[in-house]
Amino acid sequence: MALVEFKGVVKKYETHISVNHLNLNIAQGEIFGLLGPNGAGKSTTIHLLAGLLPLDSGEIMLDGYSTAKNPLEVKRRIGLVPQDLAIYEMLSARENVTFFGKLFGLKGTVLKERVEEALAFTGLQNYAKDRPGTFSGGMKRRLNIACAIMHRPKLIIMDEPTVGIDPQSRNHILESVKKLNAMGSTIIYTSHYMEEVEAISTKIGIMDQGKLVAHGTKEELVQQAGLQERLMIETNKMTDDAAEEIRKHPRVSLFHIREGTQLELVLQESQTYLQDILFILSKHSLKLQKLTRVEPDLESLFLTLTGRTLRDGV
Amino acid sequence: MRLALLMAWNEVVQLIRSRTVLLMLLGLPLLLIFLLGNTLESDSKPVKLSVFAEGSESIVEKFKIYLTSSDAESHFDPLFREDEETVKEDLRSGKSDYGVVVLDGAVRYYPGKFIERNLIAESVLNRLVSEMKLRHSANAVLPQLSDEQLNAAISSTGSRDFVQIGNLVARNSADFNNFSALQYYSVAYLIMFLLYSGMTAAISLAEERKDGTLLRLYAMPISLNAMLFGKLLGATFFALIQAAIIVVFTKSVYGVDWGTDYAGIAAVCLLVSVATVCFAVIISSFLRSRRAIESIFSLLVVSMTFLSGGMIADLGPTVRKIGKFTLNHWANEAIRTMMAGGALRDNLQVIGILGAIAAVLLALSVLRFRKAVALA
Repeated sequence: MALVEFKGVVKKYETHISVNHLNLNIAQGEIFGLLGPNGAGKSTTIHLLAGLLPLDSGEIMLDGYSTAKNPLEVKRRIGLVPQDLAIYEMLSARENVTFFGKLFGLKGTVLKERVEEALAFTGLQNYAKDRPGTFSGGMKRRLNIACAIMHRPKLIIMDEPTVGIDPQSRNHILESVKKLNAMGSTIIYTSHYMEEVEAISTKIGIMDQGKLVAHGTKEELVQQAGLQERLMIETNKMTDDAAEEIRKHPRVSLFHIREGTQLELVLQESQTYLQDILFILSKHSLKLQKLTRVEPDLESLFLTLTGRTLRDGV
Repeated sequence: MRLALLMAWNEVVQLIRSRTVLLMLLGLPLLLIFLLGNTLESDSKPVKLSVFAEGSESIVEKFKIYLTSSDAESHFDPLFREDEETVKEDLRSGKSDYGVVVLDGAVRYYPGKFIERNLIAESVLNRLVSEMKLRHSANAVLPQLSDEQLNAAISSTGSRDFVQIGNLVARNSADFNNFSALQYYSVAYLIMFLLYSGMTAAISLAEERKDGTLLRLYAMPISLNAMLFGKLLGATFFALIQAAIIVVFTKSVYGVDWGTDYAGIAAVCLLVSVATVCFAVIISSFLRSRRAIESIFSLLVVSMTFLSGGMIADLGPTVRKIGKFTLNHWANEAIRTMMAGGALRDNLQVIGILGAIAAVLLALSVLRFRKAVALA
């Protein structure tokens, strides 16, 4: 059953359409990675879901509640981790989490337990009395997360939570996402770091220019786009004749020479025809040094779907 | 209501923990009141007079009796010295403002650094010396006169008030309308800094927007009304704490007499606080940057304080008329009436005008509040 349903959602800013007829279902228990360059409409989409912006048309349902008709019920079920830090510098880490916990209606012993739980979960229990001003960027990001999870929301929305932090904190956050999901929360995770989305997501949606251009598991997306694995062949040297002969092989559909001695190619039925390529190399007295099979990744998927690389839009 | 109170608590905690806010809203008014009040009031203090008198016993005795009499008390704070050199040393070291030596019937004056103080001292001392000379002459010419007859004769020659200290700030001065400078400026700055607490509320809203916490608050299951009401409640509460601290501190440390109607003063402060936080909402609905808010607020608060006579007591009839269009004027009037022994009920017209200003600002702020808390 879908926890989140976007039905024909449209959001415009004057003449610019930020979200263009978005239809999407996110099932309970998923980690849904929303991928796209800056300006693709990811943040607007999650702001609409979190009730931060009004819809121009369409409907968004969360757990059976409409964001337009029952905004407070929807908000009770959401933990939003905004892209920019949203913590009070004048309050300690514990006071920050406690304050937001109270706004979610937590009280008494439950509140205290949940606050400590959230601080421990984000590894800040030893810094609970400290103010964020003394924290590193990564610790602030973790506090930003703690403030969104203490009420154990059904849906956690994380908007680019790893921007500008050190690798250690980044890994901590990615592990946290998996743990939160294992504990029962559905996660929507937006990023323009495809390797992050690839590493943690069970489903992926790709947005570009306000439209959801594809969504599904990574395997489904690869299949939808007709992407194939690539071979990376590295030799001791390369001659024009050998390169030309490989390029003309009837089963080679993509051919590219990198750094003079490295070939990148897509070979249909590679298990059968790889020996042809090796024979050509041998014929031209070229020595094979390295052979790598590269699975289709999100970068190539994005390129195929939008005609540009993900980084181009960032 | 619980959520609004929670928001209010958060607002107060944030304000109290901000050194800048504490310094500006608590430290600065107390300092300004102290500086202005004391600087302007110092002239009315008695002249510190170092005295050395030796020679004819009756003259020395009369001198000492006079200087310690209730007549001289308001003019002089005498220091009786053992020799002339100590008198001079007192002047050099600043222990006294003026020196006088009476030696074998001759009087020597030692003026100090301050012309006004010298003037006061010499006026009073000249009058005393003249009186003693007159008494001496009368004794010589009419020895049959009794002391009572002599006193009556001397009294009839002129006023017993040797000198009128006509400085701008003395009690009963026209400029301060029967208030001391400390009283006058305590009220003016109390109101001025209460108005500044509205600026703090507007800045707090702008900072919440900039720091992203406003966005997080939007994502909370809390209504916009509760959110804004809580913030404004916090700012109002902080303003009232600020007012209480200023009143208690100035009363206990500077000795400012605030009258007896503290509930009335609190009511006026509440109206001013409500007006200023409502104005903060209106300003926030148009301006987003901290700098712009600070500029507009400061300009308005300082202008209104100036026009209402909060910086210079008497700016003439035209400015006084313009000043009546400021919130400060009515708040100052209300509190000063209570300072002079009146009560809130004696001030109904003034309170009514103050309430009307607050009500208009409240109505405008209700119309603009959605814009004020908008994310973008």
